[in-house]
Amino acid sequence: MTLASPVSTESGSTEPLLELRNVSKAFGGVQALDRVNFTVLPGEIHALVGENGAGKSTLVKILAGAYVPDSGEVIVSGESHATLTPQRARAAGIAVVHQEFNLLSELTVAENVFLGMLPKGRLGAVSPEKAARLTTAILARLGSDLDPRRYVLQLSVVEQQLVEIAKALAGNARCIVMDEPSTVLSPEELKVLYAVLHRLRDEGRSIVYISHRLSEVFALSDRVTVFKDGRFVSSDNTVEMTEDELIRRMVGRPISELFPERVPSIGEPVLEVRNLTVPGKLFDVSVTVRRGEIVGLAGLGGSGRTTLARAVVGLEDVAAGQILLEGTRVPRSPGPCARAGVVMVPEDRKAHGIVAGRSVAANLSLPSLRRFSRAGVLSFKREQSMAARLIAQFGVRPASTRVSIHNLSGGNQQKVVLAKWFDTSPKAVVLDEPTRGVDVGAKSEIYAIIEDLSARGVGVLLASSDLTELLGVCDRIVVLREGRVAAELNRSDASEESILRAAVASGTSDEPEIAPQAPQSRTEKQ
Amino acid sequence: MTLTLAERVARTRLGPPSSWLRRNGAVVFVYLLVVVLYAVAASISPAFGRPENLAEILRQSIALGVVTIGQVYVLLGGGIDMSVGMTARVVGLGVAVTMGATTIPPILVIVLGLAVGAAIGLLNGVLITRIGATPFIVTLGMLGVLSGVALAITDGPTDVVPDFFFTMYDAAIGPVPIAVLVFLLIWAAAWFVLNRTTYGRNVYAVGGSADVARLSAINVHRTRTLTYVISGVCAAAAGIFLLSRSGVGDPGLGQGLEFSSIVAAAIGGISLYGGRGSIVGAFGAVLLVTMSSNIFDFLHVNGYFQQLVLGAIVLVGVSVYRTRGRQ
Amino acid sequence: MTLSTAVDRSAAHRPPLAVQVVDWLSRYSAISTTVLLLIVAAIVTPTFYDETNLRTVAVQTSALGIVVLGQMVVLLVRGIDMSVSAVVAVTGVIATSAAGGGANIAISLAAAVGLALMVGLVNGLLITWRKVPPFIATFIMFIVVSGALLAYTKAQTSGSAPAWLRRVGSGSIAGVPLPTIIWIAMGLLLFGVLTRTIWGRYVYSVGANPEASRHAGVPVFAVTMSAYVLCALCALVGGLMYSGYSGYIDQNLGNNVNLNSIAAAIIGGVAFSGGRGGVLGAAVGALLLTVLTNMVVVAGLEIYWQLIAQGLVLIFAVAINGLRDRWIRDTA
Repeated sequence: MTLASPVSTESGSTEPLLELRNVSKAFGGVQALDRVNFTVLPGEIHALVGENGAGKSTLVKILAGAYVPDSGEVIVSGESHATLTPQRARAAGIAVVHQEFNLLSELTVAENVFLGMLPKGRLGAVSPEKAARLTTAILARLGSDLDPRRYVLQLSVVEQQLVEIAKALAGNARCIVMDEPSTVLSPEELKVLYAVLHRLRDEGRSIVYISHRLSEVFALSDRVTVFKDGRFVSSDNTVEMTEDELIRRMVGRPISELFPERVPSIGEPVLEVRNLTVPGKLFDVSVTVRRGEIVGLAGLGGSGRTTLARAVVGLEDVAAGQILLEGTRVPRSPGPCARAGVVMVPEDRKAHGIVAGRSVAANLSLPSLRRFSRAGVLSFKREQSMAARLIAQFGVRPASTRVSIHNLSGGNQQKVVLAKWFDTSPKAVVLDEPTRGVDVGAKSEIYAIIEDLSARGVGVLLASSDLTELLGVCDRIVVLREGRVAAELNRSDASEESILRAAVASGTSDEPEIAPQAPQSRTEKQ
Repeated sequence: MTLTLAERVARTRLGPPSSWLRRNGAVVFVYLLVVVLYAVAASISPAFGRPENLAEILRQSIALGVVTIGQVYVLLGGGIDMSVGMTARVVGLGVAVTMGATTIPPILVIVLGLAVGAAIGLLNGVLITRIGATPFIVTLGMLGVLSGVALAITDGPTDVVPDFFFTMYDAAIGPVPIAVLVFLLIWAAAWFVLNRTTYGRNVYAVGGSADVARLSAINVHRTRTLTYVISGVCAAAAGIFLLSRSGVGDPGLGQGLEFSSIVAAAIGGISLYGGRGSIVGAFGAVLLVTMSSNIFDFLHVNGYFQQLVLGAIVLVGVSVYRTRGRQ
Repeated sequence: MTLSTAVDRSAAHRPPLAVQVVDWLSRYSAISTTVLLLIVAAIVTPTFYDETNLRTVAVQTSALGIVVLGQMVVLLVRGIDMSVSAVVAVTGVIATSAAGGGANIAISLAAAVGLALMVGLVNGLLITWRKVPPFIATFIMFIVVSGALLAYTKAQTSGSAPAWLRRVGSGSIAGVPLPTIIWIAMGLLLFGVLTRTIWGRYVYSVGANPEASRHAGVPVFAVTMSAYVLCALCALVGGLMYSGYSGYIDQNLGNNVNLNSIAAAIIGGVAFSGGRGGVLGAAVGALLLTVLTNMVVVAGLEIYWQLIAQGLVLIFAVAINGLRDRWIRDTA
C-alpha cells in the first residue's frame, strides 16, 4: 500500500477521473436522480450545488456504494461499474466524507482511519503502534498534530472531519467526495479545511465539494455543477460563473420569492427565558419573544440553539433561571407545556418528530388526544375530521389521513409535525430547524405557515443554521456563542456577515452591541 | 448515552475520573470488588484464603468463563445469544451418550461435540444476518428447540463417562489444575483475537455501527455470523467441561448459563448494545460471580437462599447506582 | 398495516412474488397454521376432538392467553417481561399457603395482587427511572421472585389448590370453561382499551417511537410503567388459572411460561421492536402454541417434541418478520 505517495499527475491528461452517465435512482415512485451526467477531472476541486432535494445526497450515496442506481453507469478511471459496493468504491479510489460522520466514537483515531484495513505488525497481528505511526504521518500531511491514540468521542467536529479525510487518504483515495462539510465549521476551521483541500488537489487528487454556500463555491472550486430536482443542469468553470446566474440555475426563481410578505404586528411579551442555565450547555441566557413576533436563534453547531429550544419545553435539566409564558412559569415536560400553550418542534424529525409506522391521523392527534375523548375513550369521527382539516389547511400530500407517515416526503412529514400542534392553540411556538432536509416547495410553504402563526398573534422562536432563512423570516435575531447570548440583532441591522461575526467572535473588548428592543415601526399593536 | 451497569458503578464511586479511568472504570471497579471480596472472605474464613481454594474458584469459574467469552463476542458484535446454556446441555449430554453407546475415540467425540456447537452458532448467525431475524428471539427459539433435543437425548442421568474425562478435570501441575491453565490460555487467546487481529477489531466496528462498518468495506454479515459460531463453540466446550466435572450427563446441565453469561458480561462493562467494553472486565466479572457463590458455600448460606440473596444484591445494585450525565 | 400502505404507494410496480408470499405469511401464517393443525388433527388424531381433550386445550390456551395479553402490551412498548413465569409460579403458592393457613379468599387474593403489583412496579421503575434494559431488569425480578419462592418452599412441591380455585379452574358456564370466559372477557376489554382509548394510543405511540412520543407530550414513563404492572397482573390471573386447572401447587408451574408467552405474541404478529401487533394475533398465537403442544401429547409423540415444535415455530415466525421488515426497509 502506497499510503504516503501522492498520485502521479501527468500534465495534459484530460481523461475524466470519475464519470456518471445517465444515472437514475427512484425511491418508491419519487425520482431522486433522473438520468444525470457528472464528470470529475483529475486534480480539480469540483463544487456540486443545488437546493435540498436536488439529488446531491443520493449521488453521494451512490458513489459511496450505499445505493444501487436503477440505471446508468459509473466510470472510474475508464472502468465502468453498473453498481458500486463500498469495497469497489474504495478499491476504485473513491472516498466519501459524509455530512454525518461515519466514525466509531468508541475506537481511536488511528483505528478509525484504518477501519477494515488495520496495518499488521509482527506475527500477522494488528499493530496499534504501527497504525498510530501511519496515522500521525497522514495527519501531518494535512497539517494536523492530532494524537492518533485519542478516542473519537473526545474530538471536536473539525477534528472528526480531519479524521474522515485522513481515512480517505489511508485508502489512497484519488477522488474525495465531501458532503456539505462547511455546515458544522466556524470560519477559522473552514480556513484549515480549505488549506487541506488545496494540498490534496496539489497532490493530484480530485475533490467533489457539495455545498449550498455560494461564497465558498466561488472561493474554493475550479468547476461547479448544478443539480435541480434530480436533474443535471450545468457544469462550468467557476471563474466563468456569476453568483446570480448560479442562484437562478439552482432555485429557478429569485430567493426573495421564497419568503412571504411580512407585516408584523408585535404585542406584549409572551415567552420569556430569563437567565437560563443548563449545566455545560447554556449559561445565563435571556430571550424574550413577543406576541406576533418571530425571533431567530442563530449560532454555530454546539452553540446551544437546540439546548435552548429543548429547555423551553422541559427536555433539559435546568440548573438556574426561569421560563415564563405570559408571566407564569411553564411546566417541566412537553405534555403539560402544550396544555399551557408553548410547544416545540424538534430538530431531528425522524428521531423526535414523527412516530413512524403510525398513520398521519394518529400523528396529528397525538398531542391533543384529550380533546377527542370522553373519560379516556376516543371519538374516531372527531379525530378524523380534525386530521382531514389540518391536512387540507397545511397542504399535506397525499391528502390521506390513513397513510403511514413514513411514506410521506420529508417536507410533508415536517408539515404534519408542525400541524399537530396547531389544534392545541399554542401561544408560543419554538421551531428547531423546521426546514432541514425539506425541498424548496415545502420550504416556502413552511415559511408561510410560520408567517401565518405570527399573524395570529403567536410568538415564534426559530432556531436555525440557515442564515438566509433567519434573515428572510425573522424580526429579530438572537445569536448564541458557546452557550451565551453573543448578540441580538434587529432585522434591519442583521446580515449574514454580522450574524457570523457575532457567532464566532473571540469575545475580547469588542462586545457586539445589543439591540435594546424591536424596531419601533413594528411595536404598534394591531 | 446508555451506560453499562458497571460504568454507573464506577462513575458513582470514583468521582470525576481521568480519561483513562473513565474508559476503564468498569474494569478497575470489578477487579477492586474481586480483591475486596476475597480479602473480606479470607479474613472471615481462613480456609477460604488458602491457595487450594483459589485454584478451586478458578476451576469453578471455567464453565461460566468459557461461555462468557462467546457471549462477549456476540454482544460486542451487536447481538445476543440466549441459546448458549442449551447448546452446552445438548453437547454435554450428546457427548456423554455417544461415549457410552459407541466406541468412537473420546477425542473424536469431543471434536464432534465442538462441531455441533459451531453448527448451532452458524445456524443462529445465518438466521440473524441473512434473514434479518431479531437475535434475542431467534436464539430464544433455539433455546426451546435445543432443550427439546436435550430431553430427546436423555431424560435422566447418563452412564458414567470414561476415566479419560476425570483425568481432564483432575489433572494438575502442583497445585494448579491443568484445566485452569488451559482456561487462562483460552482467555488470553480470546483477548488476542479481539484486540490484535483484524477480525477482532471488525467485531467492535460492526457492533459500534453496522452502517459505518459496511461503508468501510467490512463484511458485516460474515463478522457477525462468526461471533455466533464462536459462541456456539465456547458453549459446547463448556458443556463438555461440565460433563467432565460431574462425570455423568446431568439433564439439568447448563441451566441458566445464558443469563449468567450475559450478566457477567454486563457487570464487566460490555455494552448490551454492542461495540463497547473490554473482555478483561468480563473475566473479572466471571471471577466475581463465581467467588460470590463460593463464599456462600463457605459461609454456609442455605442453598435455597443463595438465589434470593444474589438476586437481591444485583437488584439493590441496579437500583442504587445513579446515572450521571443523562442523555 | 405498514406494509399495505407501502404497497399502495408503489402500486406502479408490483412487488415480486417472494415478497408477496412473505407479506402474506407475516399476516396470516399464524391463523392458517392453526387451521391447518386443526384439520390435520381431525385426520391423524381424532381423539384430539374428545370433549375432555378439547376442554384441556381450551383451558390451557386460556391460561397462556391471559399471560400473553400482558406480555403483548409490554412488547408493544418496546419491552419484554422475563418475570412472568416467576409471578405465575408464586401466585399459586400464595393461594395454597393461604388456604392451608385457613385464611380466606380475600386475603390470599390480596396478597397475590399485592405481590404482582410490586413486581410490575419494580420492573417499570428499573426500566424507566434506572434505564436498565428491560430484559435485564425483568430477569433480575425473575431471579429475586423465584429465589424467594425457593427459599420459602425449600423446593418441596406442596399441597393442593384451594377449593375455590379448583372450582374456577374446572367450572363452566353453558359448557364453556370458566378460564376461557375470563380470557375472552379480558381480551375483549384489552382490545377495546388498546384501540379506543388514549392509553391505547399512547401504548402504540410509545412503542413506535418513544422519543417522538415524549416530544409530543405523551407521558412515556407512566405508559411504560402501566404496561409492566398490567403484565404482572395478567401473569397473576394466568397463574391462578394454571393452578386452579391443575389442582395442585407446583413451583415448576410457570417454567415454560416466559418462552411460551413471548413466542405466542411474536407468532401472533406482535413486533419485538414495539408498536405493532394486537389482541387477536396474540390470541391466535396462544391457541397455535397450545394446539401444537396438545397434539404432540394426543399423537403419542415423545414430550420433547413439544419443546422442539414450539422453538421451531418461534424461529419461523421471527424469520418471517425479519424478511418482511428487511423488505420494507429496502423499499422505503
